[in-house]
Amino acid sequence: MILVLAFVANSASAQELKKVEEVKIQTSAKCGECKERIESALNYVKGVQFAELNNDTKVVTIRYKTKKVTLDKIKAEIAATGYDADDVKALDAAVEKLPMCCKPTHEKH
Amino acid sequence: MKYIILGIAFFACLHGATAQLKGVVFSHSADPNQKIPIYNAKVRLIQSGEGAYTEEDGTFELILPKILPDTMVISAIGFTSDTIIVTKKDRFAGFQITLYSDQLLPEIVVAAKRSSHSILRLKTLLVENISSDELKKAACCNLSESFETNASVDVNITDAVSGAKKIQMMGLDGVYTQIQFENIPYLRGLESSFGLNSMPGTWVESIQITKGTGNVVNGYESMAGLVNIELKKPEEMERVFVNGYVNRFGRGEINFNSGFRLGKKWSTGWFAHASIVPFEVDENKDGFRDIPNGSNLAVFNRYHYQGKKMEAQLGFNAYWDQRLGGQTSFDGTNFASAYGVLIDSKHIDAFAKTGFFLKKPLHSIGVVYNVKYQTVNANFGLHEFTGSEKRGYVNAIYDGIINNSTHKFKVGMSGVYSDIEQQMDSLNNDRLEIVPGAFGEYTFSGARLSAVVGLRGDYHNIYGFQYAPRVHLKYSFTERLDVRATVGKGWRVPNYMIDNISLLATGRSWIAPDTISPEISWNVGGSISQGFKLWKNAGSITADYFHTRFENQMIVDRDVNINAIVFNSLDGTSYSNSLQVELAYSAGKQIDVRFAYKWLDVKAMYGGILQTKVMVPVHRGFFNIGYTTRNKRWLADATVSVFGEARMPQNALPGGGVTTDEFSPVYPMISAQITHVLHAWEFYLGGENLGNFVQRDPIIDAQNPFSSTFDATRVWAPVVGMNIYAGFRFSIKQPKREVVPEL
Repeated sequence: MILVLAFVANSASAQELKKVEEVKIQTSAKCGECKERIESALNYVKGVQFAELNNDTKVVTIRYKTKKVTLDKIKAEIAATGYDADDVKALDAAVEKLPMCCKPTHEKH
Repeated sequence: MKYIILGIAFFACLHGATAQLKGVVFSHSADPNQKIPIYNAKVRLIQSGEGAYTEEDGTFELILPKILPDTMVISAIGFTSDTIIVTKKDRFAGFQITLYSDQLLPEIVVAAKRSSHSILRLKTLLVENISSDELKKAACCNLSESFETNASVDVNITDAVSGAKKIQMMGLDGVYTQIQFENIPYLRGLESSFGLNSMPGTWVESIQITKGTGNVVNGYESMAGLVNIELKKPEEMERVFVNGYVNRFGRGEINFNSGFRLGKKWSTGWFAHASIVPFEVDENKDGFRDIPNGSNLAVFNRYHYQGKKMEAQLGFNAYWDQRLGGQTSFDGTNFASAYGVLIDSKHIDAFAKTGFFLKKPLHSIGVVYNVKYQTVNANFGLHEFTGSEKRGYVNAIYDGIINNSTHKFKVGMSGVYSDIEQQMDSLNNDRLEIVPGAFGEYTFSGARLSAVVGLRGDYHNIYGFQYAPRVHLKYSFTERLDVRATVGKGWRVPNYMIDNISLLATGRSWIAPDTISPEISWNVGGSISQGFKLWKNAGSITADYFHTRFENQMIVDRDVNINAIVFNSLDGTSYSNSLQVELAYSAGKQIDVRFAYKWLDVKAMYGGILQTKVMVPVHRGFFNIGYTTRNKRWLADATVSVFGEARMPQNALPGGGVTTDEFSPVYPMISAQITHVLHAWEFYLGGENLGNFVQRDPIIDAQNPFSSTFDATRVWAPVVGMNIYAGFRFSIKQPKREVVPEL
């Protein structure tokens, strides 16, 4: 049912507000620990049906109900977890709380 | 111990011209596309003395020493260490290192795999791994339920009154499978009958099931298989874990675990378990409790020390279990007026492990110590069994390599002290065993071929010298096709009383053996395992065949005399053939399915002729499906097992007739569970025996429990119907340790 809705929604014209939206957001995640943190934070946001982070590209795919939650709110949630979400920068206070390897200052290959 | 295979792949990791050495350490995974970095792995250069620990994402950096080449040692808790020669060329390249989980002494296994149930591809032996995720699929209660979602090990109810369950591998009784706790022989001697209950499921981190004789290093008693149980490790287990469980029959259970660090080098884990069956259950109205009432308590406390040159563990375990079964009119004391079953078992146990890393890289010495005291008192009606066992065990292993890690060896010595006393009515079976032994094992790990060749010799103070050679081979034909072969010998000294104590729940008399001699068997087997990709998803198909042949065995003969159970040393042939085919497939990220079929042909001399062992189904089918939602907040799984016909023992009936049902009917067992995850909480609801299949009249002549025709041992199916249970888990993860590399 949800799948069908998403499909219909995607093919509908842009003016209409889709009921279920799927977005991809580039994050500043670094490792498996980050994946777990972002996914578990988003999966408990009301309206989010699922969030999956790609370990290679660090892009998180989110499907959500537009009536319950907005894209801005989702990005704010990622920022509050300590990671950049597209153009929204991570909150400093949240970054402080991350373990060493997840911090943006941490060198990455 | 330093069982290693490494994949060194150079990957782009250029980082200026600073003379640095970089790399990533991964743990081996069944899925080649998934790489799990190892956190806190130790990387050290031997000559220069430089060292570092890996970060959370598995990366490490070292300053390239001036004197080259140097040897780099990579080690992590729970993984086999590896070495790499570092040359000047490596300053512009990065190392990608894969460490493999080690299950050998004295290190600790980390089941760092995604699939909750998998065949460990790298092992030379056919080893199935059951991870903690798989264990959660069957939420209740202890080790005997842990095998419910697994086709290789069968769990059987032994009788209709004691509530005891026993495992079987290859159709052979659980006593022929060596059960060990972190490589220490565990459920043996007096614990062969009720021991599975003594290990709560929530303590278990993972279980490894080896088919065929295992390694020689851990003893001589694995004849059909080897089951190793890894409990949760102090430094990785939950900071706090609480679990509560209740089921339809009123069984209640509570578990509490906690692990924490004591300074830099020590860590400790605390485990407690209590359960109770307070209410009387008699659903089939035969006047007997279908499930015994009772309660049990178990506590375990362990410590781990991780130093630079040595590693040590020690632990203490205590267990107390009391059960009351039999007729509902039984008051717990008066065995003459009503048929009562009273079982009281206790043990205290201490173990220690020490491991020293020698100056020579990849050489180490490990010593394991274990002492245990246990008692079992069991009343089955007018029969009374009392037993006690004092046990001491020591095993010392020297571990090393010859030139490089392609050739590894282990040599060592072991000692067993066992003072076991058993008294059943007028029969007595006391024995003092002192068994010093020595062993050697060579492991070859080539690119395609790997081999483990071992030999051990033990001198038993009563039965003299016994030897046990074992050979295991694995050949990888392609990246996805593994073929394994094994041959080996195992032996044990039988304890005919405790091994068969459930057979006291009958009016038949026991005829004790004239002599007791060691049971000796040879096991030959092979397997083919093929991985495949279908519609972009990974799957595997495994077929294995094992043949066990006894040179000598304690035969429990229920055919020779209808009024007695006769114990005798084997005179003639006894063997088991076991064929299993298993298909596992992940249909996308969310659905996992497994199908298995097993064929068993277990025959021995019963009643003077070669015939099938009673109560062993010839055919068994198994199907398991697991589903996880994409947001990982809901998990569901279901298991269907179909048990085929099994030959039944003939029993006398009241009034002079005999039972006419030669075979038990085919029956299914369905179980399912659904789990909801909410932050630190997990809630589960599940059902067992959802088909509500019950054996009617499991007890023969239940009205006259003191007659000679009374029999509660002809049980081939559940005595109680559908069970519904619910529970919760609450856990706070262990905070990650931030390690500053000690340079």
